Amino acid sequence: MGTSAHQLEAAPAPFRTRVPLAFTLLFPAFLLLAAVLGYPVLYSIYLSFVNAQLTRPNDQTLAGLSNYAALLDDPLFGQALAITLVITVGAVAVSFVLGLSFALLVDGLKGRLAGIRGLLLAPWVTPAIVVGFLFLYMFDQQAGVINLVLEAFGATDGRTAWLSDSTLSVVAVTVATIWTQTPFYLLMFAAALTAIPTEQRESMLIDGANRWNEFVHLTVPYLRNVMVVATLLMFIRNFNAFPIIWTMTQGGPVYSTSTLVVYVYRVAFQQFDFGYASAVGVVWLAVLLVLALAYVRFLRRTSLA
Amino acid sequence: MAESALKPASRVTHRLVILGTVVAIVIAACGGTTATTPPDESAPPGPTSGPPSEAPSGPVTLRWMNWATTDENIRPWVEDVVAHFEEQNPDIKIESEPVPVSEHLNQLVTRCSAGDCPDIAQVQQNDIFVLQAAGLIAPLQGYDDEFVDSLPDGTVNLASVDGTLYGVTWITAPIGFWYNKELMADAGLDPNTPPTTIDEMMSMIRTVRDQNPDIIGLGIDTTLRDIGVDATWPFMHAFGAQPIKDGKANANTPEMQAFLQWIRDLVANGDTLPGKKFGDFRQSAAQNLQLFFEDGPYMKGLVQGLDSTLTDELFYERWGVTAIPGGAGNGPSAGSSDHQIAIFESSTAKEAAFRFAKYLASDVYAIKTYTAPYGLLPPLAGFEGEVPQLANPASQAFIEMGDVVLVPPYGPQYATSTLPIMANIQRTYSTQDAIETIAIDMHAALERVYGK
Amino acid sequence: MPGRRLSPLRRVIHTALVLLALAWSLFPLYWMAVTAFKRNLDIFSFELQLLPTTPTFENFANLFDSDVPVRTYFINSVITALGTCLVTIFVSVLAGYAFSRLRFRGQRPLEMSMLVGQMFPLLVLIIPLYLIYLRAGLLNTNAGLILAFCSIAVPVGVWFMKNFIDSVPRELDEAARIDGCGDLGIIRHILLPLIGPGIVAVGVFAFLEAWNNLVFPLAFSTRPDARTLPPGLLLAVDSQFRQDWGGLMAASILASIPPIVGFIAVQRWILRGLTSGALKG
Repeated sequence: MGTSAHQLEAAPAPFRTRVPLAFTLLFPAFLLLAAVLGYPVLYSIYLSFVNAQLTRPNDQTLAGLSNYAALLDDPLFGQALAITLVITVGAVAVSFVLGLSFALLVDGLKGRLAGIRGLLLAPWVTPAIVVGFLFLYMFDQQAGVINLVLEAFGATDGRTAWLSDSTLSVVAVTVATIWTQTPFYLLMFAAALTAIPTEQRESMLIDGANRWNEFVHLTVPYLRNVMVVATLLMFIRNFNAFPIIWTMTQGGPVYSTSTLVVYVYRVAFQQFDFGYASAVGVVWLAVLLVLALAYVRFLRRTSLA
Repeated sequence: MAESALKPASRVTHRLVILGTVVAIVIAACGGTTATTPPDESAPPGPTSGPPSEAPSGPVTLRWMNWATTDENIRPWVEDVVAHFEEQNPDIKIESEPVPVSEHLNQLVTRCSAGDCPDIAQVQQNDIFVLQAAGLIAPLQGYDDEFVDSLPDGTVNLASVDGTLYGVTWITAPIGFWYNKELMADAGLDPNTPPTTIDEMMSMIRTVRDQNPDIIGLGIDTTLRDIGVDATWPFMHAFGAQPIKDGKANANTPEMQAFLQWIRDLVANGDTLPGKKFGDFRQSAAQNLQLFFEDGPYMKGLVQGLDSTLTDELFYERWGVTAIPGGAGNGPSAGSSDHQIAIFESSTAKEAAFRFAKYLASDVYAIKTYTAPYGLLPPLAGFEGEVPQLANPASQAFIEMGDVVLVPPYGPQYATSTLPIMANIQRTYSTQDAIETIAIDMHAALERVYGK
Repeated sequence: MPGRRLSPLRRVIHTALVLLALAWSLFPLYWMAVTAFKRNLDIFSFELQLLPTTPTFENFANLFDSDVPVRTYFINSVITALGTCLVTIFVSVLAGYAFSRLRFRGQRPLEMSMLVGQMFPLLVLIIPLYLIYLRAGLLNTNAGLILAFCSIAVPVGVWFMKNFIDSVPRELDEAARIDGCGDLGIIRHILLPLIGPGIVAVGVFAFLEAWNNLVFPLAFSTRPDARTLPPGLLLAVDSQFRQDWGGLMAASILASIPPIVGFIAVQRWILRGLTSGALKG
């Protein structure tokens, strides 16, 4: 990372190495994170090695790796990890493409039409809990607008039970997730697009570059860093996406939308096994760290090539 | 270019940034402390030990976590009830903490884990067994044993662990079988003989739906919730299926297979809507498109809330309620659903808390203002004279149902067993898996919980 | 694209695509609004009603009539969201500058470590966090909620800020340095005007992170008057036995209007960054 189009033109100015300054500038961010998340994360890592079941208050002993062993032994855990990856990749990929397309579509709009960008951001102001209820309602078998509209166009015979089908339910929760997340990409890409110097675009046009060339050779290099960061962050955050799935399907039917966060919720708040839930958290952290590092490394390597 | 020394001006700004951040956080923290005093600090340090009957001097405040006050239509009633209690007991103040019903247990646990339990909480179903196993709630002997002895065995059993009472039943609201007399009559059935067996029920559904396929035959809960199992238990019972028996897994039985096959057919034939909470069927009930469905006594007020033209008279003309049909070996039954008041071990005002719980359960004003208007039943019988709202056909039917209420095997492990039961029920309609396999898998999953 | 003359065919396609994007984004909100104007009985009608057949203001009237603390929820939401927005911008600009413009030992691990809190199931962290909040007296306070929301928004804000600052040529700071500016001076005079769109984007992100968060206020606001909108809306729809769909939709619509209006206003500001030509440098 760290190479963007304009830096290729001139020799970059040298970076400044000043530790006290860096310390000062980073201090507020890290103090805040340490105060709120530092202790809970460390405490949870500790708990993952303890028998910490609420319903056995007199049995809170060190458990070694037994929580982790139980985890490997539970087929539902692997299933939850797999479905999490499917929904996350699906939601991130589609929202990314939609967000980028929307950003490019509205990029040139001026004056009154510029407000369209604001309207496209609107889904984002709807809290996830409301999105869950809204899409639960829209996907309803009998009264849901999706089935009613499909029926009006004669597209189906019979009303589909979206949320009671093991495949369609995954599609339904992913669609709801995409709907709320697309504005995030739109916003970030729209902001990044404004950084492309106008005269560069103009010179491309004079050269007679066609649209696709302009997109590949001018727009993509400028957006590249933001694209990387946006996909990485949203990938991580989607692991924690709970209210939409919980409202729409409670992880069902059967376990078809039981993502890791649903799994953790059940372990922690329905079975009250905090040690085991923490162990899931630690594995989750490890999975995401490995994926994130691999992703960043992969991109750095391909950008050098 | 690397400068190691800071310019004096920027050094000052550095310190300002650091100082500013620290000050901001300290102010945030202090601002908080003045706004909310943690309860353990506000309680007088002296008289906390000693027998529970010893009331502390001066008014005590009871923090009451509940979901009764979350419904905006109902909250004024509860507040009225509470105000009346505070008037009668000037030494007690009630501080209500509303939580969404679906979140109440995990909020309770979160707070208790930090040592910040409320004094009392509204609880239901399996909650008492979880909280008791965690050592969080107090046994209720020795406060008013005469009152406790007067409570009916049914509600006492639902709130007792190994014979010790841990909750005062506030309201009872069995899950019964509502039948639509209008739709039955339209199809040529006798509206006054509801089905008493699953077979009778299925043939009635056939008759009605053959004439009007838009009608939904049966409303049954197939969600992945604890309460889903409580609501499904009577239907399993009709088939003689009992997934947990004598503390052991018991799901791989012909009876369970028959039940699972029945659910699969029910969904395949469109006789019910899959994946719904039992309360969801009130929507089609309000549109008069629902033939039968399971629901509690509060159904009347809620359906009238959906359709304001449905007067009491019209309602009772259309709807009757009885026990859920039985089957081969077992007679009709009803689902269990009580709300109790539990008192926490950490509370320093348990005696006052018990007084409040007893008041909610048995005071005429409380029953007249909240319990009866909502369609719920008080745990004690004999209020019909003083509370005329209880003298209606539905409440009477539910009171009669009290004898056939089924209690699932509550206990600390029950919370872990509900998911495999409901997930495998969902498997009947969302997959093509063989019924036998589903029963075997349900059994295996329950064995993981209860041991072999 | 700016300054581009589109052929008529392209213009038609472009317009069609914009309309499609609007339909995708707004139809669910439209449906929410339609539902809010329906009678309870019609909400789960089995017939398609693209407009309410018997429109009613009942759901909105109920919101204002009863003493529902929706107004309190709304005010708490606005305060905490604005607070989160300001703190996140301040903290992210400083840290983003450090990560973008300075090189120091342990930089990459530090960058990654900001994300560690996000890589953990939030639900598991709630229990130890509650204890901290109880001890610090942060329960039932807006300050406590702002801190919690910031812990989620800041890492994302810092990462984006680093990238937005990366895209400003470093030659500009050097020129300013020669003119006698310190680091904070460079941030204030050179970067802030240039990364305006980025700041708006991070600010909007932080605002919405706070606006939409359910988990923290549900756990840390035990008193109704300390709650924000999401737990308030959950309370409204998920009460004892009843699910009030119309009420939920009405409350959501009312609560959505101010931020949407804010977006439309703010995004003009993003455009201003574009047209100011500041980046011609």
